[in-house]
Amino acid sequence: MLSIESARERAVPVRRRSSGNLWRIAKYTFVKGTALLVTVVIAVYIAILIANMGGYVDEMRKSELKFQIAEEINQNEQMRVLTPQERKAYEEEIFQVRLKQLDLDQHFIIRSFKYLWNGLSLSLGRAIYISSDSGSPHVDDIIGERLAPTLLVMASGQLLLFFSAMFFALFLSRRYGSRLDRLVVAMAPTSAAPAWFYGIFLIMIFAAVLGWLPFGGMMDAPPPPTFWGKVGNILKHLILPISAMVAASFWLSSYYWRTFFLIHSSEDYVDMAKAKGLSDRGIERRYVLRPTLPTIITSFAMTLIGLWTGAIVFENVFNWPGIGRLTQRAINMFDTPVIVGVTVIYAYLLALTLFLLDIIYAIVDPRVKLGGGENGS
Amino acid sequence: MNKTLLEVKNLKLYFRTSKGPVQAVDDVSFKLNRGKTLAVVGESGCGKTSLAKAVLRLLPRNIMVYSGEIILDGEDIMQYNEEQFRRDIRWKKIAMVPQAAMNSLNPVLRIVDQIIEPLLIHDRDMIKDKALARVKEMFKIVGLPEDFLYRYPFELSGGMRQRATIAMALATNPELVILDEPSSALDLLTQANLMNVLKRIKHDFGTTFILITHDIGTASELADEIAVMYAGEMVEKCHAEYFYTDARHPYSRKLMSSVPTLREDKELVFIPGQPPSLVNPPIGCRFAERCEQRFAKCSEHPPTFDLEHDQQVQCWLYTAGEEVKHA
Repeated sequence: MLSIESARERAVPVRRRSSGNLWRIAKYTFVKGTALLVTVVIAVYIAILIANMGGYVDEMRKSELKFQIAEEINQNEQMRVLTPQERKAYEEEIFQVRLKQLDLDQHFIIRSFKYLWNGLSLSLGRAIYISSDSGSPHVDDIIGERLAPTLLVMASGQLLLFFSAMFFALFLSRRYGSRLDRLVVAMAPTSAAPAWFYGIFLIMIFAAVLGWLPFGGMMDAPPPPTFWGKVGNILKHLILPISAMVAASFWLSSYYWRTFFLIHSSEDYVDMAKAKGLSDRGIERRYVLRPTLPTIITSFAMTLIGLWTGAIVFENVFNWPGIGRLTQRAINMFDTPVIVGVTVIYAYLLALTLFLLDIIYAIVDPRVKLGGGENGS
Repeated sequence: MNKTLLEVKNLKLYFRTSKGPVQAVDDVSFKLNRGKTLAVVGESGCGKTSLAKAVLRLLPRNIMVYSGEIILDGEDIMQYNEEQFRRDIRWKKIAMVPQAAMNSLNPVLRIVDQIIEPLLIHDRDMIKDKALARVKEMFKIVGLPEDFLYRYPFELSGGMRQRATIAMALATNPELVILDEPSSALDLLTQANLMNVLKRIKHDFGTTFILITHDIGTASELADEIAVMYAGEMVEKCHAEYFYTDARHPYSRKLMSSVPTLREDKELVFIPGQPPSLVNPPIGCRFAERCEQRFAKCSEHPPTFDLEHDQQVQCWLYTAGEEVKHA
């Protein structure tokens, strides 16, 4: 009975660990949270530096301001009486006032930290040039307005893709080497072309040639008068973008998950489950999906936060009024508050997701203990 | 009741590979009586594990040929369809203790959930409490403390996991248990412990075992009969008592003389050469190339000869039922 005795000794730490659970989780939360926060701060700061082109955007705004003031004075009849010197002095006076108003009188480095603080505290401020469709210059209004369309097209497309590819792959992994399986393997490289590329072709076929579906946008102009009319109209506009997304990634996703399931269904314990007489569905649920749940959840979470940023080219091709197009416009116009706003929200979402994932791992996989260093496997 | 529990006739299992078909199990036939233990011995890669998997129909994806008869309790279970086989045979009549007990338990399910599973699957009327009581009883038999039921596999040592898989195999009270190298990954003390557990089970419950091992010493503890496999074929089968003293096939003899014994002082020998590839095995006797007693006839495939004491040998030396000496 020697082996049992030694095993008992081994097993004792397992017990002891559970008593200090709360303290360990608190400590873990603190350490992990701090690490993630530092990452977010650094990332957002870098984004601010880039969005401002290291301060060069300030110079652009200053010269623009000077030009604007000169124009205003030029057009003002009353100013015509001033001598050029007086006019210059007046211009300079107004310029300094405006600089103060716009907070441009401080050095960029000092302001960059102000931006950082504002970004991190989510007071995103006003956009420089862009305003929302309802006329608000506030960045949160601008982003908020664009969020729904992006989520609508991205969420419906990506979730459809994620689940259909995964369940199709599960089905395929049972039919390894079949004709369908080989077709998927052969088709996987077609995903080398991005969704917008397929979009162009779909638009050409279904909008330009056949005329069945709209070219792009989210709703007809003018929109249908009734609520259900609007819903139907939006759905009609969704067909092509979603089809493009699915057409572009379905094969590769299926291939990826199929290989993933094939690897995990050749584990010894899967064979064992089969020997025990479990049904195919039972094996799939308890012996393939359940042990691989952490990976599936990670992939799913990443898909979810990936929705946020939209897809710049994709939204442009489909003329979709989402975050992707907003980002592109902001970058073109050097509208730094908008760029920083989009980045900050993404950084927070990413950090939060990573943090939650760690906790979810500990829940779904008994081998993972939060902050536990000594667990053997 | 039928005295013969399992009869295997001309069982073949070939795998398809890029190099050609691998003849992992080639024309294997044997009989096994109720309550007896058959030890299948042979070096690694000779098709022992494939034989076990073939009996339980646990086939890999690249299967090419799977034929023959497997008669369990008078019924040819090769004729069963998948669903029937799953419901009536797997773990109900034949259970298995796999080779890699370390990896044979699902890492994210508690031990109890995995052991109780076959009980609940195969008996719809089984209530959870009764099943649990049965599992606890099994744990006692294999010598594991009850509270280990509620642990996860990674919290158990290798020997304990192996015991847990044995408990799992016995829980449904199957007629035949296939032990695939049950002790090879364990240290000597644990091995000895485990063999004692198995012996007790055999004695108390009259379970029929097929013990697959490369360790002839271990086999001797449990076996009533010994079958020797070489390159996918069963070259000799006989009662354990004769095998250790009077093995007939040249390969078996070599095998025996390479095993150290406690009381005798003998010189250990090794077998020169390597077993042939199973992709393109020789047409004749597969052992001929390494055999010191080979003669002209060996280039033809030998049939199985029945000798006295129910001994079967696949070797041309025994054409006349008795060993022929060739110069």
